[in-house]
Amino acid sequence: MVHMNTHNNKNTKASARYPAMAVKAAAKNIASILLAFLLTVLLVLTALLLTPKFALFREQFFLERMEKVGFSDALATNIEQEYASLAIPSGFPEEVMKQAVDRNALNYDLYTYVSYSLHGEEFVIDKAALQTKLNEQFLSYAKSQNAALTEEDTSNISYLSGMCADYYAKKIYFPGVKQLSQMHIRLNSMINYALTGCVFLFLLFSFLLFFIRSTKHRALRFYISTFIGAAISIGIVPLILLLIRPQDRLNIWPDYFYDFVISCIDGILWGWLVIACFCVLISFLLNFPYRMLRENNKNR
Amino acid sequence: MKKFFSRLSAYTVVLPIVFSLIILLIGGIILSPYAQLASDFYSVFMPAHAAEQTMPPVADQTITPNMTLDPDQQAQQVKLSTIEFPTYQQYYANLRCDTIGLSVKVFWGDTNAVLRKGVGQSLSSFYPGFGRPLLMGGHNKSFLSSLANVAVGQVFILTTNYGEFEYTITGTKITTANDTSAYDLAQQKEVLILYTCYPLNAYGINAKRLFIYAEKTGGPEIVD
Repeated sequence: MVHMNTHNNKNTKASARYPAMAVKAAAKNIASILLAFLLTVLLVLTALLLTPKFALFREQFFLERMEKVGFSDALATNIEQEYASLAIPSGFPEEVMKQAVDRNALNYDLYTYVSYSLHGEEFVIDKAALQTKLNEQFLSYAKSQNAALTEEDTSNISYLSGMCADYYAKKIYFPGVKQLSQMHIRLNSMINYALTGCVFLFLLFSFLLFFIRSTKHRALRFYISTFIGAAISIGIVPLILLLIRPQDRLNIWPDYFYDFVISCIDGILWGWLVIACFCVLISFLLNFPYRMLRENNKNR
Repeated sequence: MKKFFSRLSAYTVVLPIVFSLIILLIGGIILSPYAQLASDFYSVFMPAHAAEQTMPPVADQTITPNMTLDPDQQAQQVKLSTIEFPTYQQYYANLRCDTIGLSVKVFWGDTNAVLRKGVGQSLSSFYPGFGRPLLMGGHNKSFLSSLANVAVGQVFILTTNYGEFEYTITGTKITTANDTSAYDLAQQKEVLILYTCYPLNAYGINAKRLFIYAEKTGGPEIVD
């Protein structure tokens, strides 16, 4: 304690005795604060750029969330209900209409569509084949009921199968995936360059920060400020959103799509919180070399 | 020691908070041009707006038609202010044709949900008694299957909470589903236009429609 006070008093006296030294120290401090701020900005930018990279444009992110909210089953139920609503106008029992939905095929189509789209590839549902399959199912039921099918009946059943196939395809091509895929194609290389730029500038500014400070523990002090500042900047908005949850009030229909969107939003917010916690952890770990360097400096 | 902690708090609390405030401020300024976009998104997806769009469950609220009305005793004129108008998807009337054994509920709106429960009246047509066309549709294989026996001269009775209206069939027409000339909703005449899929007992989704036209021949007038 006595030693530290003596050390600080020495500095103060030296600054008072040599004003040029005081100006130089102040300039160093301002430059360090500026560099620390720029490093914070770069960390925040990196976190923001990592979001599309590891969430919005990542196939696994979507598939996991779809699995979590039971998207495929809910979608199958939705299509079954839509088919069932055609039972009265089409003259087929609801059960026959519901059985027309092949849940395994739907699961495959859905996941393949998302996977292909996020890789920038086109996945087209073979509506003609689906229509033919449905048509056969409906015709076989009508025949099992000994119905004398006229040409008009056959044409009407074919029209019904077409409607069902159209609805199925419309539901599989669920909104947002195509747009994300296009964004992915357009922005992917740009994001990569931006991330590389951020990392490069981060290293450069870090070097400068350590370069301008002759005592390294002081540079580390600014480094700690950088990481805590970045943690607050990255974590505060998601923390508020996760506590207040205004996203729950989004009116998105149908329910399974709402659950999926909310799950994606929550996933991104938790991702930012994890990055913020990571920054706090780094700043905490930096305390150890900081103290060590400070002690070494005092002992010199 | 005190100085050590004050210096530490300056670097671990004050400086980081200042940094984050500046970053959030700059972020806010950069994103402010998109605030309108966010606000529009909010207004589209938030419940205050959506509440207006949410369909009430069919037949949860009803305006019970006055089935005990005696056509001979009912008022010849009904004041507009006394009428309780139906809201979207609300059951508000009964349609019957005793000759063919038809009796069905009429709903305001013609969604799939409504058509599972009865006959739906198009929102672009008019309430009974206003001297303008009424366009109603229903499923051929359930509620309107009895239309197979319909003939010119038969009478439809439409019972509402403000009166009983009588429509006499003047003609029928079989046409395609997309033939919009089959109904003229701009005409200044009270015509009940009832349509369903045709043929009445076929499998599949029919491409043809059976239209039945019935002119008003009885029922009160609506006055201001």
